[in-house]
Amino acid sequence: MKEGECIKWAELPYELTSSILRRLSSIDILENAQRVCRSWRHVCKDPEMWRKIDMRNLVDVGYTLEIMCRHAVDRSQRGLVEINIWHFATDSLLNHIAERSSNLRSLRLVMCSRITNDGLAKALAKLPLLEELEFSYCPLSVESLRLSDRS
Amino acid sequence: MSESNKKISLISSEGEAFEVSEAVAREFEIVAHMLEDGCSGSSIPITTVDSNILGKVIEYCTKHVEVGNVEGNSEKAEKDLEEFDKRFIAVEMNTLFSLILAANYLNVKGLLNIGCQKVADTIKDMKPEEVRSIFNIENDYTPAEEEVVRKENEWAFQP
Repeated sequence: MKEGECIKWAELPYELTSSILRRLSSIDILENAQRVCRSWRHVCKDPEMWRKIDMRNLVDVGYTLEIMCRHAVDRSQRGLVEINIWHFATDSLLNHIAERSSNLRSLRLVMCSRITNDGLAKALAKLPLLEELEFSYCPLSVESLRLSDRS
Repeated sequence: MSESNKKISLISSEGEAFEVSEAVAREFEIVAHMLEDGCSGSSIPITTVDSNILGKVIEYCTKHVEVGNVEGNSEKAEKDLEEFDKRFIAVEMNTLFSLILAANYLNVKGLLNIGCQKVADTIKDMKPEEVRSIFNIENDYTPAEEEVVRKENEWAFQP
């Protein structure tokens, strides 16, 4: 690149922009990256970007994260494979995910105090391909989950 | 041993020749494929990459081949390599851009990965305006489109 030559990051090939942006958290993509320019927005709308949804928020940023998460799940267009949610999951959100993500392999819920055994069990019933389930620091019991899973 | 003794010249866009071992040249997947396809020439033109960037990509590949060849003490070697990568990719944005393009073209996966990661780490949690200014990206939204994007994002804010 010669001196003074203008670098056009917006003109980076599609797959490279995609490879960069998918390393950001889902919140960051929705909140910032897609607003940078048209070509980035185009990349951020691609269902491929949403195979993996990462919504690990360490601080309360003041967004309605649940609405954001539903939007992200919708963008995956049934292609969601991995999702990681901290704090804000609800039974209703789990249902939204389960109904639209029959390919989901990994579901991680951390510190989600609002989900119930029943809500999780109902979601699990709609996720035939799930291989990995985490529910750390959630008010659930493995025992009752097994029972409701069977029923 | 005979393979690693063989030398190959990689020719930059300016016509400058960089002599490297075959093992290093093979780190460029595009070159590895050419060799496997029976390209027997000892000089390979890399017409889209200039000398400055080609030199850097060769430096990266040489280091990775060297470390890969050291037996034992793998934990330390891995740590050294990580340190090397970190220092190597700490370049200004124009160079980073060219390195990513070159790594993509030459198919040097490790370099492409650390390049893309470096960009992602840089823009993490940055507001759109900051990203545009750092990356010299023009805001090409019309006011009407910007309004649509803004509206779409309203759902994200609590009233």
